Amino acid sequence: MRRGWFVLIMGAVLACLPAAAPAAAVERAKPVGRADRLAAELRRDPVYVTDHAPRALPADAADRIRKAVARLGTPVYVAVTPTSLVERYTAQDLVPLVHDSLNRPGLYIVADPTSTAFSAVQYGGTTLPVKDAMYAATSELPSDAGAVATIERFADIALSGHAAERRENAGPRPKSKIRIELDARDRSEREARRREWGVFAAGTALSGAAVLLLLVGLRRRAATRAERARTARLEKARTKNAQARKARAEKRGKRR
Amino acid sequence: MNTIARVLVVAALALVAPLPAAVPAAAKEPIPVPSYAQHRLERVAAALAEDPLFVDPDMSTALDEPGRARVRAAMDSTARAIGTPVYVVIIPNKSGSESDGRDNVFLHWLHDRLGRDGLYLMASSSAWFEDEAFNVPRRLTYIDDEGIQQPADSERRFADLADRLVAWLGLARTAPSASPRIPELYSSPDPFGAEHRLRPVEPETKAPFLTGLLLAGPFAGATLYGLGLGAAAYRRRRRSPRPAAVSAAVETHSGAPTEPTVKWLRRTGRRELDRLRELLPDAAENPGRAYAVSAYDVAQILYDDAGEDPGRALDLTGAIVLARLGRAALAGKTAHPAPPCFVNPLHGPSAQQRKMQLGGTRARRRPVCSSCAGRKAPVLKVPGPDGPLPHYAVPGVWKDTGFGADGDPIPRIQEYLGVE
Repeated sequence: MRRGWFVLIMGAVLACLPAAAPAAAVERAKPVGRADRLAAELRRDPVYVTDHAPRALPADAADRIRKAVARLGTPVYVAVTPTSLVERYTAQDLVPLVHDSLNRPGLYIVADPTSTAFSAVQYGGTTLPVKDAMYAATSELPSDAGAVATIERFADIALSGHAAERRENAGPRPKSKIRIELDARDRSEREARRREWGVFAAGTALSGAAVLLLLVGLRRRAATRAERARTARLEKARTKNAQARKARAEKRGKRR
Repeated sequence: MNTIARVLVVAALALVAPLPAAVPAAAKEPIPVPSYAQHRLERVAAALAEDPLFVDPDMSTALDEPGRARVRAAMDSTARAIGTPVYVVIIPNKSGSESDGRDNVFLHWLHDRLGRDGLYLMASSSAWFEDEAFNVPRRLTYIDDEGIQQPADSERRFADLADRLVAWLGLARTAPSASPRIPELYSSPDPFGAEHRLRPVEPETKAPFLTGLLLAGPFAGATLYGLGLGAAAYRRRRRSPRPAAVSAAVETHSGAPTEPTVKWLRRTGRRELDRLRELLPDAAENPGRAYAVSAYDVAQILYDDAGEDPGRALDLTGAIVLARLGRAALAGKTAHPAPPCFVNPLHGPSAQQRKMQLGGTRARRRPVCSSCAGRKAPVLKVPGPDGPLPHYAVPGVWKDTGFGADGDPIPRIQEYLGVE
C-alpha cells in the first residue's frame, strides 16, 4: 500500500514537472505592477534600496536606513526607488499603493534616491509626528542630499520632540553641491574676465603709449627740422641781400 | 524564444565567438566603478545571458505580455537576418546611475560585462531608444532619422513602445550591409563622487594681451594723438579771438599819407620793426608768435633790401604792413590777423569789407579800415615812371597778394624774396 502511494505521488510529481516549467517562465515574464513589486521586496526585507542609483546612494545605504528607522520603535517599511517611471508614480502616489499591496500596519516611506523628495505615511498607531518631520527634513537639507541623509534626518526630527517647531522654523534651504560648485565657477569666471580685461588693458596701454610717443616724437622732429631749414634759408637770404646792398652801394660810389 | 531561434542564436554566437576576444580597449570602463555600483550591470548581464529581452522589474509594465511576444519575434527575425544576437533592455537610467544617466555608456559597460557582441537596444524611463552595435554587419545610423527613437506622445510614453521596438528592429533587419566594427565611447562619465565638480574658469591671457597690443593699442594711440592735435587746434582757436572782433581794439593809422615819401617809409619801417622786435622775446607761449616771427623776418629783409630806392616804395610799405601784422598777431594771440585796409594798407587792419571797383576791373569785395568804410577814400599811391600809381596797379607780389586781402601774404612774399 505504501509503495502504491509512493508511485502515485511520484507519478503526480513527475506529471506536474513539465507543466511547472512553462508556468514559471510565464510567471517570470508576466508584468507585475510597480506597487506589487515593491510590496514583494518589502515583504522580504522592510528596507529596500534600489540598485539603479549607486552614484546617489552610499554603499551602506540599506544599513544606515535600517539603523535610522530602527529607533522609531514602530514597524517601518522603506523603499528607496526611482520615481516617475512608466506610470509616473511619485513617492506620494506609491506609499498608499504599496501599503494596499503589503497590507501591514506601520510607517511607510518611499523616497527617490537622488533627491530629498520623499513621502512618509503612518498606517495605524499615529504616535510619531510624521508629517512635520517629513517637511522639516526636506527643508533642512539641500535638494541633493539624497535619500539616506533625508531619512536619517527624518528619524532624528521625528524623535526630537520638536518636529512641529523645526518644520515652522526651517530657514532657507542650504545650497546644494551643484549650486555651490556653480557659484564657485561663476566667481572664477568673473575673476577670469577681470584678469582678461586687465591683460587687454595692459597690452593696449603698452602699444598705445609707444605709438603715441612715436607720433609725438616724429611731429617734434619734423617741426624742428622745418624750423632749422627755415632759419638757414632766412640766413642765406639775408646774406644774399646784404651782398646785393653792398654791390649797389659800391655802384653808387663809383657813379659819384 | 523557440528552439530554432536559440539554435540560430547559438550558431550566430559561434560565428562571432572569435570576435569578443578582439573587444577593443576603448570599450572598457575608463573610470573605476566601485563594486557596489556594479550590481545592476551584473544583474542585467546575468539576465541577458539567459534571455535577450530584459525588462527591469521597476519598468515591467512598460511592455505587456502580447507586446513582449511581438518584440521577441522581431528580435528573433532580426538576429537571424543580421547574423548576430539582438539584445533589448528596458531599464531606468537616471542621473544617479552607475553610468550617470548616459544610456550609451550603460550599453558599453553592459557589453563588457556580458562579453558578447551583438545589437544592443535600450529604452530608459524617458522611452527614448539608445542602440549600440558591437560587430554587427549593418549600417544602422540612418535609423536615427526615422523618428521612432522617441515616443510619439510624450504624455503616454510607453503606449507605443512595442510598436516602436518592432519597427526599429524591422529597420535594423533591412539596414544596408557594413563592415562589423566596435563603436567607440568618445567620452566617459564623471568619476564617482565627482559628478558635480566643475572646473574653475581659467583666464585666457595671451589672446587679450595680443589683441590689446597689436590692435587696440595702436588704434588707441593714433586716436589719442588725433584727439590731442584736435584739442590743441581748438585751444589755439579759442585763445585767438576772431580777427573781426579784435580789429576794433587794434591801433589804426588813418592819418597815414596817401603818397608817402621814401624817407617817411624808412623812418616808419624802422620804428615798426623795432617795436615788433621788442615784443618777440616775451611771446614764447603766444599762439601768434610763429606768424609774428615770419612777418618780422620778411619785413626785415624787405626793409634791408629796399634801402633808399624810391622804386621800391611798395616793398617798404609791405615791410611796415607786415611788421604791423606781426604785432597784431601777437596782440590778438592769433595766427590769422585781420588783413590791412586795401584802400591804403598803411591805415592798419581792416574792420569790414566793401565792394570796390578798381581800375576798370570787376567790382570785388575788399577789406577796408573803419575810416575808409563809409567814404570814397584816396588810394595809396606810389611813384611810377609816369607819376604816382595806385598800389594795386603796380604789377608784382603786392598786387598779387593785396597786402593780405586774399589771405596770408607771407608765403608768397617769402617766395618772392627767395626765402621759400
